[in-house]
Amino acid sequence: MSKNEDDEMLLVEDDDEEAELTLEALRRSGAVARVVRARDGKAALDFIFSGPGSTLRSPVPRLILLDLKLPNVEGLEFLRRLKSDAAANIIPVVVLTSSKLDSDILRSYRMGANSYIVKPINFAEFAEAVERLGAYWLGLNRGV
Amino acid sequence: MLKDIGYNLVAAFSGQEALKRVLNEDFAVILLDVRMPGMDGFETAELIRGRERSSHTPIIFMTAVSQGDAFTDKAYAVGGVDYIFKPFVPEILRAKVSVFVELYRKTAQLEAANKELDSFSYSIAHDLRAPLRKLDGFSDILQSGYGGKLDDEGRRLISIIRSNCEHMGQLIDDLLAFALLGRNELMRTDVDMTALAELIVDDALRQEPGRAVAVRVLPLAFARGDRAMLRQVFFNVVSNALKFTNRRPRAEVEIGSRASDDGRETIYYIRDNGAGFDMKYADKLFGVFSRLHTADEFNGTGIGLALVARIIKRHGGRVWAEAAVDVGATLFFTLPRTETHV
Repeated sequence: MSKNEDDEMLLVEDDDEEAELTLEALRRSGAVARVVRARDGKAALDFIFSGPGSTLRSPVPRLILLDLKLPNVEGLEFLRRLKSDAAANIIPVVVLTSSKLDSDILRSYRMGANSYIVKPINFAEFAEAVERLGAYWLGLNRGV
Repeated sequence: MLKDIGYNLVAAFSGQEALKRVLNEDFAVILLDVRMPGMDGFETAELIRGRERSSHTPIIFMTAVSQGDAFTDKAYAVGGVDYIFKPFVPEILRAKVSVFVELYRKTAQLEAANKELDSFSYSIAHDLRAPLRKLDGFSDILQSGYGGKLDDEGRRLISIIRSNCEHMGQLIDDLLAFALLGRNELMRTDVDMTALAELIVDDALRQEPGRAVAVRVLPLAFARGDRAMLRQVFFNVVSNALKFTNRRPRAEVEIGSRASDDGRETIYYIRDNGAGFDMKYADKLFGVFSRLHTADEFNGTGIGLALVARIIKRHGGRVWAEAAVDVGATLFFTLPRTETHV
């Protein structure tokens, strides 16, 4: 991934250790200048709609990495609310989860997820997946 | 005669009506009159057998008079499990029926227990993943970020942790795949087994470019089954064959198929000239996590063939193997034969 100072990424993850691993994976990919972390779906929505009068903030995050199991507003519900907002729904969302069940994957896509990573046990594989998918969606979002 | 022993009895007055019934409901046993207006009992039985839902429902033929061997042969040939002559002796009829009702109930209990076990294994494997990911991730960070500050012994200890994380990760993922097999539905289509086998073989050989392996894929009979699952079957048996031939200067593998003697199944086989195994351990071959070789000899988690056995059983087939130590092994699996392709 090429680095761009304007890139801001939102990581929605409640588990501190998981978040640390994902941040490390992002660091290794060398792509993102800033990562904002939200600990639950509600905090993530508050951040995205932190513009004047609860409108979309500016600049918007280039990419959202979303864990599905979250307290308060859970992952799929966050996804639904984000994608039903006419302005916010252009932000690409990559779902991060450990579930291999077809039903969970399908539900995420139905709710508007753009990609999906089943977090592999192997950290090096995970870092690689984050790098590739991150590069793809950031690239698309920059219009490159 | 059967009313007062507490069974739920459903009567159909023609072959057509019976077929309609078995399409929508499960039955413990079917009592089938041979002589009926329109479609006779034998014809009805064949159609009942041909349908997935009722393919294993036991059929007892009822007929007015003893009609000799030709009758009984025919009854068995179309899939009947028993027959009874009129006029019925109530005790005999009840005894015959109750055997199958008991069997049906036990099977249902067993299926429920198996399902529970699957979801239990799935939950366990799934919940073990998260802490293991962290073990692997943080030991990776430790190794790459702090490896320089450790001496050789320190680095050796970390690499032991990491290789065990990897092994356990493989075990958990295999177990998950195994448990998921019981949950996901079969998506049956006509599968070109020759093309599928060739695809897997090409892929597998590309993974080991340095090896001298002669793999022959003979023309295989088509199968009706879940393509993704059958792909997994070929993947596992081909990987197995390549693994156990890796000490041969010239490894030979052959994949072929033939019809079974009674013509109802296709027998697929994969033969190799690898390490083989002692036939007295043949029953251990298809168990979960059971391995016939030590990890030093050949690596693996011991779930590959258990997965194969499970997929084949879900398709209504069987698996077995023949082998001799240091001569090689042949793995067989069967699938019900399809009407459209042979």
